[in-house]
Amino acid sequence: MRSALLRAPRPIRFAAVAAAAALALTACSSGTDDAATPAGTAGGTTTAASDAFPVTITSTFGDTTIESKPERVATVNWGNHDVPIALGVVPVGIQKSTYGDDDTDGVLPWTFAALEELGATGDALPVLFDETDGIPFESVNNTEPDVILAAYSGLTKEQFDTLSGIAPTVSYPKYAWGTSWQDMALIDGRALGLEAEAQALVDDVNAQIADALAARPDVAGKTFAYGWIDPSAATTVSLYSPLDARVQLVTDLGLEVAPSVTALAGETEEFYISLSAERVDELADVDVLVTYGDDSTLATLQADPLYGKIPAVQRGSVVVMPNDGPLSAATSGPTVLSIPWVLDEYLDKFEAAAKKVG
Amino acid sequence: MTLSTTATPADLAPRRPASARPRRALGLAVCALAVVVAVVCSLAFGSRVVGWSDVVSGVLHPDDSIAQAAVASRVPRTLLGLLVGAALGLAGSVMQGLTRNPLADPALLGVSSGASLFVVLGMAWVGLTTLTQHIWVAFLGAAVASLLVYAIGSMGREGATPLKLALAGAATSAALLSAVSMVLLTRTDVLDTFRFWQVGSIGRASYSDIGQVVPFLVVGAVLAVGCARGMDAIALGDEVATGLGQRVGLVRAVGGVAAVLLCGASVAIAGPIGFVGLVVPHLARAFTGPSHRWLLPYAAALGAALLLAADVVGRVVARPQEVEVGIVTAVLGAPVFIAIIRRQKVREL
Repeated sequence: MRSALLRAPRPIRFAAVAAAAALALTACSSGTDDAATPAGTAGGTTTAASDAFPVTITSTFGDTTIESKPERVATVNWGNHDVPIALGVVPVGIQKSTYGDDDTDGVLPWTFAALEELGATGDALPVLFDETDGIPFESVNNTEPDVILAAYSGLTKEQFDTLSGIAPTVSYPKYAWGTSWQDMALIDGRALGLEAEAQALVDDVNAQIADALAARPDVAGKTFAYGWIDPSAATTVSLYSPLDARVQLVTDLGLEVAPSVTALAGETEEFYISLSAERVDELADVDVLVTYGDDSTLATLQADPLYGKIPAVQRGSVVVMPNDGPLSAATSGPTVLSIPWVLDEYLDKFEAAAKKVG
Repeated sequence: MTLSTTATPADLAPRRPASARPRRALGLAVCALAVVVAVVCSLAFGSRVVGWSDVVSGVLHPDDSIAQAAVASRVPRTLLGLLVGAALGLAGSVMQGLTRNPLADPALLGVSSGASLFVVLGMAWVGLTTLTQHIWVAFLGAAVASLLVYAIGSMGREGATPLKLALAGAATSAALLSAVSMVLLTRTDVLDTFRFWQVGSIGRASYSDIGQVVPFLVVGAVLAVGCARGMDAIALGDEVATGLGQRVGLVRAVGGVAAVLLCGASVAIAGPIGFVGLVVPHLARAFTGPSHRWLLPYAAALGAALLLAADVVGRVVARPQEVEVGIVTAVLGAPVFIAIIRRQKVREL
């Protein structure tokens, strides 16, 4: 269930499984060859000055103090493991990926590639926490971690307290599932005494984004809405709110959240909002509509008497992300490892859609 | 049998005031009016506020405006609400009549969860995708769950008491739903398809979907009406019913098939919607008394009106979102459920 959260925020289901949601988000990262990601940072582990500790990190559940540089790092929830791995630290345990993992080994391709570079595959692979049914606290405890990283997560207070009983736990700063990939890297990195290295990592990814954008001048400045629209099954559409990490990634790609979405989101602290299909004309200011689906999705939307009224649908400036698979996993829970892996393919889709905007 | 040979069904039926027939006829007219009002509200009110001229044009010949497209999209939704509401009202009446259990309801007795589980299994293991396929596995699941609950509830000397049936239904329902979760947890791809079933919804129904379930609902309704006289007799107790010449086993079998058809088809297209089947027969009996020949048409009309009303409420309370009708019926139905238990002390019908 958690995995499905990533792309399918139906209010009802979520309420029931909100806590569980955290589990689904296991990202993995394995840099591809095109990215310089692991190269610049591999040596970083040893450079951390011990005078960085003790370090105190403030999150929504209070202060977490890490007394000395952690040797055994465990990560729970989606994608947090990509940060230590990108920094050259092999975690003792990470979340098992169940969403978007096409080869079902429990590790997403970009994570696997980065682990491979660190010689941490096969028998050396970190323990995979199966969070399908909630965080397996006993398994986490069995890895004897010095620190537990979850800067991007939906931890509940109860989960946080339980984890904190095992080791100092780093939670999200303010909103569940509302931590940007940059903040995830910096916060998780800081807990490892590698904040400068994490910053270098973020700068590197930002530079890659800037290069990729420069090659696609049509993309920047367009407005967008990121939604979950299933014409066959629902009377409401779900729109990811501006605090959602995947929405933040798209803004990093030079697009702007459409004013209509911002207005609908208001002061929400949820990562999605809902809108009745009868009112989809409120999305008239959307240049590029992003949704999940398959090859038939755009035609289905265009044929629908209500969704067909959205200008972006009419002109086909729609980015359809595959319903499952690594491409969606890399972008719905973006990390410093997943972005370089997916960047060109992702931007190509946005470019194609942006070219259709008048 | 201890019955005197001169006893007739008329003698055994509860005495009613002489005015009962006109009163019941008038009540049926009131029910019909309630249905009409519910239909008009369902067409007129939604997340989008539209004028009455748009409502009329949207139903008759929608133009290109979103207002009229919105109204047009409410037409199949309303039609499905009528069908599913009537089916649930009938199914609840039949289940309560056959089991003499005032708490019988497709959702409470595990029939809906049986249908749900089989649909999930069909999606996960057999790769079923079309509504037609779902209907058949839903029937199978509804039938299996019904038989299971009835068998469990009938264990012991005193047979299927209301309390035992309700407990068996609740326990079976819980077990079936955790099996549903078990499948979904490991198969997120199935979860996607299954999502909208988790709460009942009549939105976004297409005419072709509706056309596929109508034959099953019609057959179910005809069988239910065919059992009316038999259920009247069963209400007096199995032994009396047998003495009256009713073939109790046959009535139960045909009525059971009717309930499975009505519930299974409803669940297949709209998901498990609770409490309508429970509340409506009680509401109807207040007008009709126990005679099933009157109860069934009342229950069909009231079920349709209640479901549509609940759907309209779900559309307007949460603007600009919508609340699925299954949520609304649960919110409205739970207090009634408690009231029935308190008032009746779960006695047999």
